[in-house]
Amino acid sequence: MSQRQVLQVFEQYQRARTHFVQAVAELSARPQNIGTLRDAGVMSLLRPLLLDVVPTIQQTAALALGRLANYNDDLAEAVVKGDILPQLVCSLSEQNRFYKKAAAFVLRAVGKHSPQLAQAVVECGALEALAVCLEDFDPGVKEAAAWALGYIAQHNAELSQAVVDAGAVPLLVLCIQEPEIALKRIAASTLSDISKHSPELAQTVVDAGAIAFLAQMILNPDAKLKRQVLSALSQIAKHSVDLAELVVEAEIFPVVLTCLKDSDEYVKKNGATLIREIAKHSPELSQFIVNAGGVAAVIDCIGSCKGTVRLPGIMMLGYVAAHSENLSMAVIVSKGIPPLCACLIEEHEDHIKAAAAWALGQIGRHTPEHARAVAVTNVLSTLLSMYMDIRSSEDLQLKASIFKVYAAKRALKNILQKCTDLPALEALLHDAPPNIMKHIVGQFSKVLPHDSKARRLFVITGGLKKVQEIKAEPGSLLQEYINTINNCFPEEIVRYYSPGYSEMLLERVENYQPVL
Amino acid sequence: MVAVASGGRGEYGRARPAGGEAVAAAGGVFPQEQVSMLVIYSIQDRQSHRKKTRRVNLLELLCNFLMRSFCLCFLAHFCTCFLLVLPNLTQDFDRSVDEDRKIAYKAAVKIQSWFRGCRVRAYLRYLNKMAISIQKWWRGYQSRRYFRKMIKIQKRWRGYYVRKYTHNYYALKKYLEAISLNNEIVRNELQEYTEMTEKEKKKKDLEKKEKEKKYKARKMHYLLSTEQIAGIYNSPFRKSPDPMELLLRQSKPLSHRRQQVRSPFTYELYDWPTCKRPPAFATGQPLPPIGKQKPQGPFRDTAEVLWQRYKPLEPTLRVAASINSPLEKAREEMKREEWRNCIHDNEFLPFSSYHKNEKYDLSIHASEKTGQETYGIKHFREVQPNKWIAGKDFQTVLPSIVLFEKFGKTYSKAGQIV
Repeated sequence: MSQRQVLQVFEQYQRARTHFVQAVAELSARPQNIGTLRDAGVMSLLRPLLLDVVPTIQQTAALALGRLANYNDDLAEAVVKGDILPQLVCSLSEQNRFYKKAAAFVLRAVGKHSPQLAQAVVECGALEALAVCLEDFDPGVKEAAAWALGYIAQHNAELSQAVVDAGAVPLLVLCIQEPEIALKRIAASTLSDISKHSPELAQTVVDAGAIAFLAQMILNPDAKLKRQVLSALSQIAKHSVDLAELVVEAEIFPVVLTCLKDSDEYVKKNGATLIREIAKHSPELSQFIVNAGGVAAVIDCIGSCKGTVRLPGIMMLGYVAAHSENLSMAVIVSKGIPPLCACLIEEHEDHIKAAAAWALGQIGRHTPEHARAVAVTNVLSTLLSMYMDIRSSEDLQLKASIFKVYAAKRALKNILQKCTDLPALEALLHDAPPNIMKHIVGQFSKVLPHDSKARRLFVITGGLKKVQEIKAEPGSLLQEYINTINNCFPEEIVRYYSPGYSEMLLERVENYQPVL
Repeated sequence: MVAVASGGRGEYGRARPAGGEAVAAAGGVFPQEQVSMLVIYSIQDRQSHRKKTRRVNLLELLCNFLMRSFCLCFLAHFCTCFLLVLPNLTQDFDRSVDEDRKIAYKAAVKIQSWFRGCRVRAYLRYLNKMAISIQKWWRGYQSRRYFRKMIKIQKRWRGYYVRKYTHNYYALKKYLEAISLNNEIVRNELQEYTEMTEKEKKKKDLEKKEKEKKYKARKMHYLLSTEQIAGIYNSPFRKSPDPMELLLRQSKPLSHRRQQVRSPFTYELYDWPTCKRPPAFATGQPLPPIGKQKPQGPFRDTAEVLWQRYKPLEPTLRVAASINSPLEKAREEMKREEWRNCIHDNEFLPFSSYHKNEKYDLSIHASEKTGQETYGIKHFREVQPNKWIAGKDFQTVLPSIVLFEKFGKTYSKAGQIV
């Protein structure tokens, strides 16, 4: 009898513990309860439950801890300070798969908040244990381990190097080949986080043979997987020409162009990012992309999206056009300029406007033909207004606004230095500030001496009048240009349009002695 | 005195550099005009040096000049002093002043002659240099004139080459046209691709809806209308029954014990572009129940077992497609055809005399003995009785082992017990 009573006491205790831990796990899934839980001292209560005899209680306690640590970094720090991590790491190698999943979840939740916490996780020797978990049979365990590794590696290069040193990369590449989609996603995102920091890390990932598998997975219909795969490839390709060439050799073109037509916005964005990272390294790579029809696809993509999703596409066009004038002409021929002008006018974000201005500048700066193609779309006045935007001077504190103004100015300068299209220049003549005026007048002074029809038009449209009204310091470049222009016209008409001519004539009338 | 003068001259001769001239004003020995002319020559010389851009070490010249002037000065002074002092030292009262004067005069003449020689030599050097520079310039002009003729040809060749190959305008134009064409093609293809994906998505959604409807109809089969009572979907006031009613009529009622065998791969592989339909398992139609009573014991569900046993092979794409690409298969096919159609394997040789030395092969009928071949009919094996050891066949001595008879037959095949 007494034995049964004793056992009953133990059973009651076990039931109470189970109930408590399950309730805490459920409550911690809701954010509003977490503050109360923390104040009630849940950490110190959960800690001994991790060492409980009953496996279910252990697992549920670990799950609850993970959810708490996931919520914010104070709790994560409390987990670290409570010396819970070494215990978790030890049991990662021994326990069953549910516990492994829960422990990996806790490690991930702690490691995701800041580099210091991730460093604390690494110092407990978690990386080796997680790498062992990556070889487990259960895909859930693999997924949890890969996720934890990804969150640790995302902070900085040292942590990524630590992850690589634990031998995780070949295992991740094996994980990518598994049939479960969730595992593929997580493995791809971890590889992306590892390779984004430095070229050496990217080279390590490439050496493990990741590129071929990532390239195959571009065809997969799952949108989230495609996002991660494209992001991984672009992080690899962005570091150097060799890596970009390796990525291109995996025959991603023209398959990647289908990603630009996907219904998911972020797939489009990441696809455009990948193409941009490849195009920016060298003219040969840009040439290759142009030959594969990439420019047309990117232009369509820009035209169909709105907002930040457009930004990589715009930058890609800028990079392609910057390499050489033939490529810039190819961009123009593929009808690239209208979408860029539309971007410039429609978008509200400063950095997108700056990027569009920069891209237009790169397109138009090579030869007069290019400058004419840009000027014909009347985008120069938009650029000028962007440059002189009074509003932006108020929030010049924002880096983006400064950058926007600067980009507009550079683009305008580059285009104007080659522009020989007089109607477009005339439109600008009336509003431009002095430093831009110098370039405009300079261009006029180059063109007018040789073209009589242009001179006539110049007079008719009031350009000559405007030029006379410009005040320039004698001896400056502007004054020289003005003199050159004045020398193209007969004296009478120059005097006619010079300011104050009417007063001078009236004075002459006053002083005239009539001939009787 | 003479020895001193010659020794002095020797000394001076060693120290003499090329170019430049020394101006000595030893005791006002030399007249002023000569000194000035010398200065002018030396300056001119130096200037002409500079004009021809030879590296003039002015400092060196100056040093030499100073040294020489100093030497000359010193020498002249020394000589004259010495000569003047000498009579006092020798205490020779027989020497008259006239002889002193003669010696001094000779010394002066010597010095002057030397100096004039230097000047003339300097002048000659200067003339020489002028002549050289004029000749230099003339030769250069001659060769440049020749060079200009060569340039004309090279100019035209370089222009042609650059226009044709490096900056070929027409090639660039064609390239840009080709790019726009290619862009059009790419755009069309991408458009088609998007349309295709949209259609597939729509189809998938539609099919899903259909499936749901059908399942609902099967579940709510009891809402079907009967003769007596019209169901809710078959109102007498309607002209024709509701589509739901029709669906209900068509569907089979859902049985209670439904084995939900859902493969985890159905949705993920469903729209994989290469396999349009989900893998069809053998449990598409559930097998007839073996018996209501489940066999006692820790056995798995029969339907599960059968599903596992009869799971068809799902080869990966790599296995299902042949190793050889279609191109290689076509090539092999061609080779096989050629080999088939060949009448004989002897190649055509160039001269008819090549064949003449060949031995004639007898045909089978002629080479073998007449009659039917016994191999294949009478006997199948080659038998060599002379190699036999004994005349008897093998005998089994030991009994066979029972366990070994079961080899390869241990596991049951469709319920047959071994």
